[in-house]
Amino acid sequence: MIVSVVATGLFGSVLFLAAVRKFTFLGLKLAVMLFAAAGVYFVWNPDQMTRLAQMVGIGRGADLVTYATTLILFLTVVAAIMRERRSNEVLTQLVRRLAIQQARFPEGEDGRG
Amino acid sequence: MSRDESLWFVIAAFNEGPMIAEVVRGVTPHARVVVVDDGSSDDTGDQALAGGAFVATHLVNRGQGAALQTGIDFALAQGASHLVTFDADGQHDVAEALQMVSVCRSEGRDAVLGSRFLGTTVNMPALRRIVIKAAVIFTRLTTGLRLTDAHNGLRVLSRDAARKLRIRQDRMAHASEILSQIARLRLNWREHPVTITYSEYSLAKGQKLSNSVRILEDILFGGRS
Repeated sequence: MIVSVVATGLFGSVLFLAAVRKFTFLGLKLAVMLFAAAGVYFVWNPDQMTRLAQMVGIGRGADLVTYATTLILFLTVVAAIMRERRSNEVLTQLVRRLAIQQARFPEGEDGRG
Repeated sequence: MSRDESLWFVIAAFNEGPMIAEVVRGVTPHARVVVVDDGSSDDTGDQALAGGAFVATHLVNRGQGAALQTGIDFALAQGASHLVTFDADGQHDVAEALQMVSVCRSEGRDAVLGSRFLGTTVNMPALRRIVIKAAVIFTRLTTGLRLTDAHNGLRVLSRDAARKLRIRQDRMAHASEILSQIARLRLNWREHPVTITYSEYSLAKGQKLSNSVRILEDILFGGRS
């Protein structure tokens, strides 16, 4: 009971945040909201989860939840790594630009020989 | 030999304070030098400047590949006709680098790559020899270049070749990246024997075996994202 209430609170927060936040893609916003709403529903109707799981050939609802969670976590990690790559490239370009602009010249040199 | 104003040595340096001024002074009678101080915590930049080098400073450490690209960009902007990538730790021989430049010019090559296996190695540890030989085989398989050495930091590039190359591997995988771009761009290259001297200093600064795992990881998953 307590766990169900906590889980409802978590999914509810996600639903609320997704509703008020701006997303780059409307589709992603709808998907997150749908996911959170489904979360609230299945917390209170676990038997429905099991039915859904059996429809896709998985024994128990809990197993389906585990698989879905693993998949989402994996995609999140991949997205985070790609984001880090991109920001690393941007940082390198920024550092390079500064280094060249503020280069120090040795005595008696004005560059461009 | 008089100083060649259109020849630039590009040196990436990270915490090379003890040696860098001496290395730079070895070059400045013959060519111009840009040292990219890659976010060192010691006085590498000041030492390089005192030695007579142009100094571009990375405010944050970005790795040797990133530093070389910065130096190449700087030298090209200063009008370099040929560029030499040169190690900061005194492993390379200036006279040999100059020989490579004249070979590059007289044969009209895009790139001349140093090979320690055509040349000589002084005090090379056995384990390092094995690791580099493995890298040579890896390079042959992935790029088709029939090289005798890989990951040799001594290279000569023509202005044209340097403009075409774009190092995106910030860390150590840039050595493989340069070779794969040389293959892809179908540059006109050759190898040239060089001497690599493994001093106590260069060994302490050099690549550890464990780094090769990181390099492989960068090649497989890094770069083009």
